[in-house]
Amino acid sequence: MNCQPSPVKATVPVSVANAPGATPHPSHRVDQSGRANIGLLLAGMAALWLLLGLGFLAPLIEVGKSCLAALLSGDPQVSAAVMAKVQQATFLIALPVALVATAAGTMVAIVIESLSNPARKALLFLCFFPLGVHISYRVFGVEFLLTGTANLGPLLDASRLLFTRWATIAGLAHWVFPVAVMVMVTALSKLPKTQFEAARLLGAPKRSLIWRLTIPQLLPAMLLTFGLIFCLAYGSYITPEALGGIDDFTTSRLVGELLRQGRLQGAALAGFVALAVPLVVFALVGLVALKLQQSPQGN
Amino acid sequence: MTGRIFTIVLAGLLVAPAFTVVLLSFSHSSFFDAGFGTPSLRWYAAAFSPRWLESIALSAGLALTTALVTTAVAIPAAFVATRTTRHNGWVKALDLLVLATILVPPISLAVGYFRLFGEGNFPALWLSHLVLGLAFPYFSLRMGSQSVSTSLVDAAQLLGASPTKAMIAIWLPSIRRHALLGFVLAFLTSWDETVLSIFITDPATLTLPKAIWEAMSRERDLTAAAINTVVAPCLSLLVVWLHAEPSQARVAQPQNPFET
Repeated sequence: MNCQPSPVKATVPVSVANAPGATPHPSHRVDQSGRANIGLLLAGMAALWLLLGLGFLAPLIEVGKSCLAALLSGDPQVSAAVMAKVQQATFLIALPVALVATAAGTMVAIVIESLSNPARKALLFLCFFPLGVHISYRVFGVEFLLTGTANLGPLLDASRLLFTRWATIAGLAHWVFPVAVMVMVTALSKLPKTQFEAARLLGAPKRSLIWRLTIPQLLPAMLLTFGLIFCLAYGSYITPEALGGIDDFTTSRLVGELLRQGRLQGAALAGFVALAVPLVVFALVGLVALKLQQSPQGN
Repeated sequence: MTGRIFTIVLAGLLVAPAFTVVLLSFSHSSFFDAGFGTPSLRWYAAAFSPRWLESIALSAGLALTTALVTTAVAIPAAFVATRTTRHNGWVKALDLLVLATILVPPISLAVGYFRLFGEGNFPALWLSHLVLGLAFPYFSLRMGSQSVSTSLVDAAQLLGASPTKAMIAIWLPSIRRHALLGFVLAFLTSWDETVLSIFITDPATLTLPKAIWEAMSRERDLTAAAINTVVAPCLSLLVVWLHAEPSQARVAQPQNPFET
C-alpha cells in the first residue's frame, strides 16, 4: 500500500499566475519550494553514497584487487598452512567470545528489564562504563586483573593465562559485553509487555516467563547479536595483540604483522580473508534469524 | 533472586577491567608488582603536559567533526529510507552496506587505505573515521523512526510542508533522543579508534588512542588512566541517559490489561 501523500498541485489559472504583480497562490509556492527542498534531501543521500563509495567500497575493492594479484603472482607472501592455522586460532577465539557475550548480554538485559528505574540506570551505567574507556586501557585492565590474581592462591591464580588464548577470550568478552547488552536491552524493550502481565496473572512462574515467553521471542535478536559479536571478535586487533601469545596468532594480527614488514600483497590476502569470513558468517546467521522471525512461533 | 545476583556479579566481572582504570589513575607506581603505594595525583598532573594535551585536542576535534558530519549525513538518508515505501530494494541494500561498515574489520580497511592513500594522509584517517562512525547515527535514527507515527509526517506534507520541512520540523524533533544517541556513539567510535590510527598515520600524527597504545606498550605510562577516569563516566552517563527509555513512555505502557 502506498502511504505517500499525493503532491499538492497548483490550480491557479495560467493567466492569473502570469499577470504582472500577481501574488503566487500558496499551493503553487509550496510546490516550487518542495521541489527545491527535495534537492537538499537528494544532496544528503548523494553525500552518504559518496562517503560509502570513497571511504568504504573503494578501499575494499583495492584489497580484493591486491588479493587477486597476490594469488595470480604465485608469491602470496603467506603460505596456505599459515593461513589455515591462523583461521583456526581466530575461530577458536571468536566463537566462545560470541557465545559468552550473547548469553551474558541476554541475562543482563532480562535482569535490567525487571529492575526499578534507579537500579536499572545504575546497572546500565555499570555495563556501559567501559564504552568510555579507551580499548588500550581496557586491555591493560584485563592484564592487571589477571596478574593480580597471582596473590589469591593457586586455585584462583589466573596469571598463567596471560598471553594465551584464554586471556584473549577474556579480553574480547570484556570488550564486546557492553555492545551485547545494548543490543539485547533494545530488543527486549520492543517485546509487548502485556503478554508477560497476562502470563503472570494466569499463574505462570518466573522461570516459565523467561524460558517460554522471553527467550523464544528474543531468539532472532540473540542470533543477530551472536553474529555481530562474532564479527567484532574475529576482526579485533588490539586485544589479541596485547593479550595473545605466539600460538594464538589471529587473522588481524597476521595482517598487522605483514603490514609492518611491508609485505603488502600478503597483508591484502590475509585482509581479504579477515573481511570475507565474518561477512559470510553474519549472512548465514542473519538468514537463520530471518527465518525464525518469519516462522509462526516467532510472530 | 539467586539468578539476579549471579547475573549482576557476572556483569561486574565482565566490566571490572575498565574500572581498574579508576583505581590505577591514583596509583603512585606504574608497575603491577610494586603494589598500589601511596595514592597520588601524578598522572592527573602529567595529563596537562603538551604531548598529551595535543593528542587530546587532536582526537577530540577528530571525534567531534566525525560525529557532526556522520549525523548530518545520516539524518536525510534515514528519513528518505524510512519514508520510501515503493522500490525499497535500494533501502535494503543501503541498510546492508551501512551494517557492513561495522562488520568489516578495521585492519582490512587499513590495508585498503594504505594502498589507496598511502601513509601519513590525515584526511584519509578522517574519512575512515566517518565510515566507521556512520552506522551508529543511521541505525539509531532508523530505529527511532519506528516509534514515530508516519501519519504525522504525512499530515504535515498534506498541509503544505516540503519534505525537508517535515523532516526538520516534525520527524527530527520526535526522535531527537535517538539522533543524540547516534551522535554520541559516533563520537565514541572515533574517540576510541586505534587500529587505523596506528597503521595509516605517520609518526608525527599522535591521536590519543595511538598515544595510549604506544605509552602502554613501551612505558606503562598511566597518564591516560587519569584522562579516561575523567572522560569515561561523563560519556557513559550520557549513553545511559540517552539509551534509557523516557520515564513517561514507560509509564504509558500498559502494565496490566485486566486492571480496573
